[in-house]
Amino acid sequence: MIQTIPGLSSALLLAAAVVCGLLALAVVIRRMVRTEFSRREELRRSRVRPLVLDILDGDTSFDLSRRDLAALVLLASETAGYVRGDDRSALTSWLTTQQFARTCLKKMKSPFALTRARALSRFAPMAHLAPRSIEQMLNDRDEGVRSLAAQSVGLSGSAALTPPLLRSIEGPRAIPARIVSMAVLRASPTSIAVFGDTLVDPNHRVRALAIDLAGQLNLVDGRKAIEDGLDSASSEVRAASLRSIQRLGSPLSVAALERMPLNNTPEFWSAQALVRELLVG
Amino acid sequence: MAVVLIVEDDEDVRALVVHRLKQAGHEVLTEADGEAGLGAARAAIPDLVILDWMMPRRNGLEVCFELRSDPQFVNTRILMLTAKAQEQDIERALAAGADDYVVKPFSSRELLARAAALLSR
Repeated sequence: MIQTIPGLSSALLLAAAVVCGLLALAVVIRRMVRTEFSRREELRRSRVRPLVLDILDGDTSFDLSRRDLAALVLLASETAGYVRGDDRSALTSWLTTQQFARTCLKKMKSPFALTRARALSRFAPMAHLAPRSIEQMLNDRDEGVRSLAAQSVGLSGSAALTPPLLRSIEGPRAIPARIVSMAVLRASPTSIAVFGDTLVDPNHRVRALAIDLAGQLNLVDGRKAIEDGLDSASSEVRAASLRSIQRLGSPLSVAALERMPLNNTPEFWSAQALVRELLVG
Repeated sequence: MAVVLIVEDDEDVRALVVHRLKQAGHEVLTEADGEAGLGAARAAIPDLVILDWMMPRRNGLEVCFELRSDPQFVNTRILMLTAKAQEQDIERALAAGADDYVVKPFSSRELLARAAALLSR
């Protein structure tokens, strides 16, 4: 018995050492495999990179292996996020022919937030092709996915999605106003029409944000809608109107400012100062 | 034909810009970080430098400031090409000596037009 215990201990020690060794080996092999995988992926990307430029030039007559085509699809979708105008149109048109949109939209319905987020970020430059799906994701059950959806709207610059994006700052699944603002500024709409009816939204936070952003984007065609905010019952909306009127800097706004009822509110005095500023120029 | 130096760490963006500039008939040099970009600029004295902002080693703003402090680059134009889109970022870049500023995502057609306008000054 006395002799058996040291024997058993040695065996256990040896077994533990073997297990540790095997684990360490597994970690090393896993790392080597991943490194090799990344190296091959990078090689494949380098190989197909010139083809992205061909797509941009309208030449899509290439014959690729399944893996090279997958790498090209991924690279084209990433590049579509860096560019806009004709370049993005060329890439998204080609991606559509590769069933890329359909695959992303399918994955965007996954029960796993990470899969939805990954598909959404790849689909973002093409968000204008499926506005309803992106709108649904602005109300996703996962907070991170909702924020990513807001950023996707900003990246795509989709006009149809701007009003639902602005409204997403309210409700039980609200997106932080800071993220929504950044997305709208990134989309950089050039006309107030993109804001839709959010400029008269019954929710004063939504209306104030829309008015504020219209000023930040210097949307001069929204001057009337911005000035109308001065009549709002909400001080938040009135303050946003004043800020935007100041940003636009148009003397035409003086009449609206002078219509403000005489009272002792901070907005009234700001309006008076702004009138002087606009008149002096 | 002008000599254009692109300092951009993203290989995909770099490839696209190089492609478009070569199509426009320019001679194009590239570097992937700020320090190497400064070295290449000193060696080649390019007509135009297209600079990313966020790069390893030295950022684009530092490179821009350094180029502007050096009298041999008095005729070199600098165009910032960056994802930083805030008003204060643009102000900082122009204050550091950038001649123009293009925000990502960008239109390569617009980039070429701005590059042409800078080179014609």
